[in-house]
Amino acid sequence: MALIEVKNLSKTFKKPIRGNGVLSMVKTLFSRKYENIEAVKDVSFEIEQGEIVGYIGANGAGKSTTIKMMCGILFPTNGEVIIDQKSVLKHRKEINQEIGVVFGQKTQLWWDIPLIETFKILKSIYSVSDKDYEERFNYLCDLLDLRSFMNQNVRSLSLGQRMRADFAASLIHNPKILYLDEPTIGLDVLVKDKIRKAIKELNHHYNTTVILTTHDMKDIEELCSRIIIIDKGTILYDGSLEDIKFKFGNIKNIVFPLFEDFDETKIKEFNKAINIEIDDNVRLSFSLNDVDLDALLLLLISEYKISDFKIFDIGIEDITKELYAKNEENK
Amino acid sequence: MKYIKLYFKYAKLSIMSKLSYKSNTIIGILAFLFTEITSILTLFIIVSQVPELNGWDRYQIALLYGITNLAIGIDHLFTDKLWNVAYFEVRSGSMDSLFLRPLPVLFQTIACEIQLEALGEILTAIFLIVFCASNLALIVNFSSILLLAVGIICASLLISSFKIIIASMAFAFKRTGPFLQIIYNFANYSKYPLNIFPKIIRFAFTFLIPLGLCIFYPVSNLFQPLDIGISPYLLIVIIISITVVMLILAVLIWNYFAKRYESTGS
Repeated sequence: MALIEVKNLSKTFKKPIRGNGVLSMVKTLFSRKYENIEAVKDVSFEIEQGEIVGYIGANGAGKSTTIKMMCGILFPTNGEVIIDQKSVLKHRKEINQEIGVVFGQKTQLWWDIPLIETFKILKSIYSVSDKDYEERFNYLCDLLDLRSFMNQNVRSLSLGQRMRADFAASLIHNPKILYLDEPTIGLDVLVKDKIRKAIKELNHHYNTTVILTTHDMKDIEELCSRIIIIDKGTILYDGSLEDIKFKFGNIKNIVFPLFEDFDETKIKEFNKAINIEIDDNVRLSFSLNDVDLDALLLLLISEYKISDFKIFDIGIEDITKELYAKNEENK
Repeated sequence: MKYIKLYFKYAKLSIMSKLSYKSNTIIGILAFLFTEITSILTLFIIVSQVPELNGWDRYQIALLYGITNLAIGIDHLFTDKLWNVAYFEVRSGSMDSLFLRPLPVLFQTIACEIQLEALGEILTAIFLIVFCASNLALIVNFSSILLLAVGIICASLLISSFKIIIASMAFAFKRTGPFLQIIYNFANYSKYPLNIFPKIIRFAFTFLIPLGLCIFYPVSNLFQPLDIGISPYLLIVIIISITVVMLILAVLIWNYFAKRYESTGS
């Protein structure tokens, strides 16, 4: 049995149709016309215990809406979310004991008092035993480096400190499931790194299931074994990161600076499947399925005397771009 | 038992938060103190022009005023968060964190704020009560004091119940603050002797919004024994029963509407 089952989830927001200006605002007071905005359309998936799933999509794709429905704070128009074989809407208090939630944009910490007090009251709220609390508290403090500001007022913490604290606060009751809604938003590289490491560590140590939404593709590449891509409320892709990379043909890019008498004919002669883009740099992109990388490199070095070049894989960013584009075409 | 312990923990954190803005809290208390003092002065100026109001002299009127304010102040001290629920919190989606904890939402809403500003109201009320009582020959015996104490506590709880009911409607209608304001202003009527009002308001305050029952009759009982045909003890039982019924009703209505709470889209 899967830990989380999302079945045919849909959410339609009703929005009164109104024009601009005061007059039409007054009119809408009396009219009953609504526009239906389908934020999430018939989404289904299952998540097993211990998975780290990346839930990605552009702004307004329906990510947060889905996560909120999975937490039980937004009602689906259709379908349901089942956690541990319990419907989230009917067993709010039991489910809450099993989940931890971090919304990157909002804090759950007590704002005006020292951070440690938040942890103490969360201990009572979730009825965590002294022994478990000690163990987890110390573990999280070490993992996220919280001790130095544990006695500071939350209000005076920096964003990075606050995020780490929020993250720890959502875990003090050892939830089975951790929802992270853009946990690295607005953070610098070092803090992002710390949070990523913590997520991995935690998943390893406690087998916590993690569902995260993010716009930072590095989060996804470093953490997620599985990704779900959503656009305009429907799932475009659900599967492993390797699979989708393979599906997009193991695409590699080679980039080197443009030099004066660059002539692309030899590359074209070598293999027609290579796509060449020229601006300040020359960018070759091709699929490993069609092109022999070693031979190409040899050609570049011997014929073009290139010494300074970069090779990289196609990023998940490019893949999502393409998926979005394909989805547009199909409409 | 768990909830009682938790309540005190929440209360402690709320007071700590308030005290972290010392000047703000003190200004708040002083502001309420001044508001109350000016309204009492106005009251005194008016009643000093009229030596008697339907058989009530100025000290008696002021005593009633003080006792009503005490009840209002107690409610204010403990349930002030409900105002925020009615005005902003549902609309902005900031109730999310309460719905994500394994505790009843109403409990968290009430517990998370102790409004120290209400002390301004409570202190002036107590001062006024003591001042008036020392200028009046009151009937002080076990039953009259018990009736008064029960009346004050139940009046507070009744105000809280009405606040809970109206605030909870915000879960469905997003914002019910102005409506709450109306009901709250209405409660001010019970600061004046019930018998100066027309029959319909007297009826409303005895039966519909039974604040009159909780405050007016117990206070009159301090001046002369009640002539409404029931003993003080029976009145105590009635007041308590009405309050309990209202509280249960308030919790049920809250739970009904809380099921309709929706977070915002983003």
